[in-house]
Amino acid sequence: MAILIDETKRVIVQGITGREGQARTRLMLDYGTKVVGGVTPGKGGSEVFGLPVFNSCADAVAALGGVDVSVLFVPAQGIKSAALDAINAGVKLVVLVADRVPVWDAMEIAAAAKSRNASFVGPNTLGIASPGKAVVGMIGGRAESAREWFKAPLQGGTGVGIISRSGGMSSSTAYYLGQSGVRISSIVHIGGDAVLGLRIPDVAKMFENDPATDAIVVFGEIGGSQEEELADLIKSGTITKPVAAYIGGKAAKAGTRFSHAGAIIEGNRGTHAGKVAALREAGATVADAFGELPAAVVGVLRARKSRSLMSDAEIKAVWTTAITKIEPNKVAVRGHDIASLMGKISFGAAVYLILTGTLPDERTGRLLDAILVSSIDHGATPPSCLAARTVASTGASLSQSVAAGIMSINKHHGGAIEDCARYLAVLLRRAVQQKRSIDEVAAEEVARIKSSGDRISGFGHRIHTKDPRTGRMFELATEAGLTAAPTTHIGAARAVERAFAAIGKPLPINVDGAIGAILADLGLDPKVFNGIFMIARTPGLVAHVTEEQTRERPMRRIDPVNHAYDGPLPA
Amino acid sequence: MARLHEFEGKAILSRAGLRVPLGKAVQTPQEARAAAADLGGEVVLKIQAWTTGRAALGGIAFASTPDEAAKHAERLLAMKVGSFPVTHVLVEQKLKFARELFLSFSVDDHARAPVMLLAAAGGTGIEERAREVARIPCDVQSGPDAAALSNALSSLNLGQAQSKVAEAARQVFNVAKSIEARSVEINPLAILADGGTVAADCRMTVDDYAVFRHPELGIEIARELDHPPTALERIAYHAEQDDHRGTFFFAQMNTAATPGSKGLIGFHGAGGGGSMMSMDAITNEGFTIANFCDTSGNPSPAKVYRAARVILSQPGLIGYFGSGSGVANQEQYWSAYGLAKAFWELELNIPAVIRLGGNTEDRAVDILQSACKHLSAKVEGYKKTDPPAKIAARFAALVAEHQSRDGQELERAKGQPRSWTPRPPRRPNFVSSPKSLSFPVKAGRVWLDSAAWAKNAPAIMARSNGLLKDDSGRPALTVTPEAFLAKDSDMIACEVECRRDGVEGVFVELDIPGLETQSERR
Repeated sequence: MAILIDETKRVIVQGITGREGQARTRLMLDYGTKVVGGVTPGKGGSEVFGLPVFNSCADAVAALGGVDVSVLFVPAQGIKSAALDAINAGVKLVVLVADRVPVWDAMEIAAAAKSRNASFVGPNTLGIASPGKAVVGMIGGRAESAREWFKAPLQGGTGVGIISRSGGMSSSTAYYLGQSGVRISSIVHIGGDAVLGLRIPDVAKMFENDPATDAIVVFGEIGGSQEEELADLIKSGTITKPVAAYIGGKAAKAGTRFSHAGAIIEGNRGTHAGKVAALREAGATVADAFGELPAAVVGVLRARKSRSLMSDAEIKAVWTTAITKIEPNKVAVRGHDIASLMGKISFGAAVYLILTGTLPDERTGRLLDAILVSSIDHGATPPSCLAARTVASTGASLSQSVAAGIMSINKHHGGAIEDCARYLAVLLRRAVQQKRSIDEVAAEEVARIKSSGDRISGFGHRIHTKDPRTGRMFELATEAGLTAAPTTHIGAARAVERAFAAIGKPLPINVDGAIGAILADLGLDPKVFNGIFMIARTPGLVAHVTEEQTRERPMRRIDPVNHAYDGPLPA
Repeated sequence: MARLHEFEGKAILSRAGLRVPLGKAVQTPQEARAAAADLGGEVVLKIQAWTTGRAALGGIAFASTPDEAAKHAERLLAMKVGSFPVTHVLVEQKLKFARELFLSFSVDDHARAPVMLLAAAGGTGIEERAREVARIPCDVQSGPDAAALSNALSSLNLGQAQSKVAEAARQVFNVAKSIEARSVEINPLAILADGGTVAADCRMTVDDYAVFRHPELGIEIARELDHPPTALERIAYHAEQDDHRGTFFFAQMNTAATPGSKGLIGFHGAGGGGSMMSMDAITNEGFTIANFCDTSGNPSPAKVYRAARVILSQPGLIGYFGSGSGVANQEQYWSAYGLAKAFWELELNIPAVIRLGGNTEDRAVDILQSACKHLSAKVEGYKKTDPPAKIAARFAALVAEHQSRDGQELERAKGQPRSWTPRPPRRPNFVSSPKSLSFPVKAGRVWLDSAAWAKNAPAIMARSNGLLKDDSGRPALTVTPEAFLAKDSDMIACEVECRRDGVEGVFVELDIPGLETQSERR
């Protein structure tokens, strides 16, 4: 778990078509945030990175279904209307990135949020990150930096929660903690302005209730009373988890503002000394210098034997893998002991597990098995078989020959699985975005294909008119709980079939198309679809290569067409 | 928060229908005499300064005659409050108050809404009587909560004046909303014998971020400072206003090293929190910070360049310290280009330590160090693995080494540190030559040495991100002049890249209005 955001939260981006909006959408997508669409008034109907763009949040919510979070990459002058748009559309968490938002606008947003029971973060926030899960906003700047800098909790493990009044220091605090072996559950940059949505005490209470958070780390600043309020919460027993803090601005002079609108000492309120004293008196650990904060946090965690602390081996590691953990006498794949998987789950289930990180139910495992079986071989004519046999005939080893076969599995051979899945996804998105039925969209597509003469992947076959594998595949999919509902890839495939039939040109989905649609509906990433084909076809290639090596003479001329089958007859 | 003087605030209140004493703000004793004569009778003179307890400072005086008013004004106008010289004195008719109240408006960060305070007695020292103050929550649209306001009023036993005070409270809220105030303080709100109310004093601040929507307020610099804006701060502010790519914040703090300190240094931060943390680190090392500066939010190299030029317009610096969060989310190499260009132009001769940690830090440090290797000063770049305390200590070591170098014993004997003297930036010879070609960019121009173009063209074009081409032996743009205007960042990168590879013939001249004359004056 984490607070505010994780990989399941559905996020939209307001201002997605702008320069910043696009750059940060890229970051969020690359990190794994579930960005489902965007909003730019006047740009509805367009797409950014394949995501649908809407004219308003109301449109986006209506078309996309549930939206949990909206993040605004909109300039300060436009923040009020954009934030009210999101709040009035029923979005419950709004993240306001813009700097220089007028305080009266922020108060109006706050009043609207209160009346609709919504929360907001910012203004002037870099956003929120839950390491290993999702980023909303721009913390880290780039996905690869965010992955490198912020150490995620182990699956089911814990981390410390970071609350910062400074954007740059959010990343900095998380980075230096990570270098000292501290894992992070979530990072919240609350923003530097005078009126903020979530404030330090609010976020601290969320961390208090988050089972994945062991301790709370605060980068505070002079000005305001948030740190003093946190001290009161500790004293009253509302916050029981350990709190470690650093308060910036010791060198600052009263009455001068240092960039953050909220970081100004007014009268006797908000001084550095006052905040440090209040927190220490409440029992929090306050570091005098920022460089001492990580050691202070490590000390707190060690005393509690916290699982947020990494082992020395983990700290020394220069890269990490989340696939298999090897320890003496112990192997765990995606967190599952391999010995206990053996004899219990099917190979299909194991493939699903290693690719997605999740152990599937038995019926899904059986479906994956069926997919693998269906593609195990397709005789001597496919390019992969010819390539493997040709290389084998030159005297190459088994591994070289099989590798040659695998190397020929590409866009045009086996690629239809992925292409078809992506194509069906486009049709589904279009239906959502244009608020039309999938059948209407499919009919329009088929008409376009007919007039343009384009080919589409996953439909029709050069040999089969009624592929024996397709029907069986869909039967098994139904058994595994998949349906042909209009929002599914299978549903979209069926709609395309119906549209072809309607124009008198039956072009049924083939086995590649069926596999693509099923894998997509199972939640697998299209990036691995060709890999699943390679996994399935490898036994076939091994068989062809060994046959070539044992039956045929070296350097023979392999006729790609004129060959015959001499094995047992099908029952 | 941009602060308004009492007389400016009263003018706004008066326009909104709230009664204020008759009066006039004056800047000379003669004007004070004339104002007192116009008002007739007894007058009060008040210095216009952002401070509480003006009476205790001797900033308030009473006069029965115009001559007496002029005499007081002369003394008051010579006063200084903190580092602010008194520039205006408000001359007002003296009123007889039946009662005094304290009425204020402010933004409650906890409630995320406006709040008004009302208290029984006015006068000075309101902070000490905080417990007797009634809080009236406000709705951001409709103003003070009616029930809370009426409770607060009835506990004050105002009698006939109650409705007038209620009206004043609502008027103050409306004024605050109309000018997007951060705070309004009426202390005292006077009740006259006839039950009417008068705002006898007024302190107002306006939200910096909303100043652009209120040109009518005539606020020149929407920044909080504890002193009137200096010439350099004005220059920096206007440079910031002209370029919205990222943020540039500059405030002067000290013009001389405090006694016992290691010396005065220029400070260049990135990000508000990271800057404050870095200032703490360098203060712990024993230095006096001349200025606060923050360039962040993915600033253009031009913005970082201008910030460095402004910082290096301060005399007496013994070093240049740059450090922000150290793990910047922004692309740091752009900042490195801006700094490298400024340091080269000014031929920096004091040590500089810049922490460029964050995204693209390797490239940033490489750019800075290789572009500055021919300078007489040591310029060192650091990354996110170098914590602030470490580089602050490294900076101290470099400064100490620089101060103790041979040949400088004479100066040191006099107790004078080797320090920075602001100087005009150097320009390559071909700049401004009628034979050279120039193309405008945002607030500046790119100069190309036509005479040497044949020799340099391939190298310059290769570093121009495809923006320059050769047109029959003369440099030309590959994009329209309009599109080229926004390509200042690419061209700054081109200039610095060429310089580090020993290629000459391209230079980006960036204007900083006011700065050249500023350093010439010195």
